[in-house]
Amino acid sequence: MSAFKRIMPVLGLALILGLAPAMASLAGARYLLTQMTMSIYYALATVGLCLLMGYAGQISMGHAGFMAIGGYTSSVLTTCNLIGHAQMPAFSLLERSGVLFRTVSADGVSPAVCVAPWAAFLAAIILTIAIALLIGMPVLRLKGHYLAMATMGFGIIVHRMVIGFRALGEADGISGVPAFPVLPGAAISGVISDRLSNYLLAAAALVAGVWLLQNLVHSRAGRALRAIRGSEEAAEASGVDTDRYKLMTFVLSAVFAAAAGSFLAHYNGGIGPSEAGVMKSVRAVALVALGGMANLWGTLFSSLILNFLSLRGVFQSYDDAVFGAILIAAMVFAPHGRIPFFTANAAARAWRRLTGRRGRGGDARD
Amino acid sequence: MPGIDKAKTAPILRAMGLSRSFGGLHALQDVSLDVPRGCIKGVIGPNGAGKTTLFNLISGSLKPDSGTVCFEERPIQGMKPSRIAAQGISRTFQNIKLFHGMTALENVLVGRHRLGRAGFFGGMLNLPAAGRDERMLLDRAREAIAFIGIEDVAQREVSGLSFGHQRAVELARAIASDPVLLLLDEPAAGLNMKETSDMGALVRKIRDRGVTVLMVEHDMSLVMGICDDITVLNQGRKIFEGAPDAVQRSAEVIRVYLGEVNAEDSQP
Repeated sequence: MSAFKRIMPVLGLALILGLAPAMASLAGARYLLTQMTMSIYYALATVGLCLLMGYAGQISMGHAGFMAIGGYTSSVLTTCNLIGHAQMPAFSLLERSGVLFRTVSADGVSPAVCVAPWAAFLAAIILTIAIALLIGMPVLRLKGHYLAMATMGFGIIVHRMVIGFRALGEADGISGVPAFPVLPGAAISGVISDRLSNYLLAAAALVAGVWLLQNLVHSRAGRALRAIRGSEEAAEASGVDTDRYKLMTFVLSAVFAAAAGSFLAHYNGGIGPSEAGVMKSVRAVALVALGGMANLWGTLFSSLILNFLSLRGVFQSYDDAVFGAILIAAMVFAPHGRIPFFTANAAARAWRRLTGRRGRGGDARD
Repeated sequence: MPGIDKAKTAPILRAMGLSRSFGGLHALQDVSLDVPRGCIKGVIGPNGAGKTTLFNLISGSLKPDSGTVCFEERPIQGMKPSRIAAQGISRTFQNIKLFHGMTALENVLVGRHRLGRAGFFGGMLNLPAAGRDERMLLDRAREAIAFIGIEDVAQREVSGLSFGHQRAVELARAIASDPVLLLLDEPAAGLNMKETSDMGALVRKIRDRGVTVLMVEHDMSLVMGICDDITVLNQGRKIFEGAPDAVQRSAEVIRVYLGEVNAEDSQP
């Protein structure tokens, strides 16, 4: 695929995401930006799963676990007060290098020292890579249902841990997560006046993430992943180190989830244990299935739209049931991901069928 | 094989004393086999003789219980299939294993995977080096497709192709990696007579490019027609080895294939 043809859909996505807030403003519904921003972060996590599940064919029912690891690491490090450790020799060095920063604690008066958001983000990514390697190495030897169960087990462990540990806020989660200045003059935060800039930051992150994945999918490595999904044995016989490729993909998809989780925690100003719930993982799997499995764009749009509707409360208390039903429907009607809904190919085929029906019918009568 | 140079006359693949059992079944027992460089070697035998097990042991899909496999005089037994493939051994499968959901060209591109260098991050960032790598892969994959003669289906998704075409795509994928040794597991299975003889011509053409071929096959006309040397397996053991005409004359081979010849049956 030429570079031009590859960049076009990414530019299209940037355009759509860029125009959306203007349309929301015109409709007098700027408050929608909040849920739009959140659904973008969820979509960022989902497209990472799409690479693992759709392209490499390795299911993960523990994706929310990685999102939680990202979100919680950022939240804990940026809110824990390290002032008691001020005597440690490395302290002033870390403070001068900007890893630590002085602030005030939740009571508004007493001084506090926390880890800077960028350093916390870095730590979250490194921790995620380490955990993904540790989990992925044994678990990716499994296939199908067994892999699903093992990764779900991982997700449940993460969920139980965030509920069980006092340092992770137990059932209350963590609040008071500060703004994350990512660009000069733009920080990820829940400040109402920065709603538009926050939306644009999220959109930029998603466009960048999709651009990277889109490139990957059309590269030698991406082709190897699709080959693994097609036939692991034949891929291996063609010289593809399937163990290594599966592990790399598992780690990469975990990093996408953790980055999204971290950003979302800064945006929401906190994180709670429900982010780590098993249903969040099921939701991600359902969205990839609905998107058409090996279909980055289908996953992207199904995730943006359905997460937005869910966050707006459209599904009311049937929220989890809706995503469960989507998963069942996708599995029953299109187990291999051929959902002729989002894909451009399917649209072209449908168009041909509509316009060429008479011609083809003539052939059939001959 | 003419030539006095030892490196040239040494077999390209030497299997020694290979054994493998599944539970109580001895699929292969103490089988040794040499594949001389530049020849087409056939492995035949009735169903259950251990032919596919032998192939899987050589290509690394299975590990031998005992015995060694040396490729270019280096031991390869017990290595992962991808490492064995990386040394220049490629294979096809008895029941065709293509990458469904991908075009014929993409399938062949994966076959060339081992000769590409672009990694995960080069691909993700679409670095210029990755682009050059990709163009090189694409050129050579197209060559392999032209060599096999399936240009007309290159852009088609493989699950929609006819059986014969699928087999050809698999063959193109196998030779796309510029193998030194090509393992063909029943390349004529499911093909009609015309297709079988085309396949024979193709395998010869591949050999003439300098690729050594080791082939498991049931179709006797193909085996007798193109193989320089044949190994006969029966119930996991090697029972005969020699040139095609010697195999056809061997009383042991005839007994295995046709059963005991008794007095009444032999009367005209």
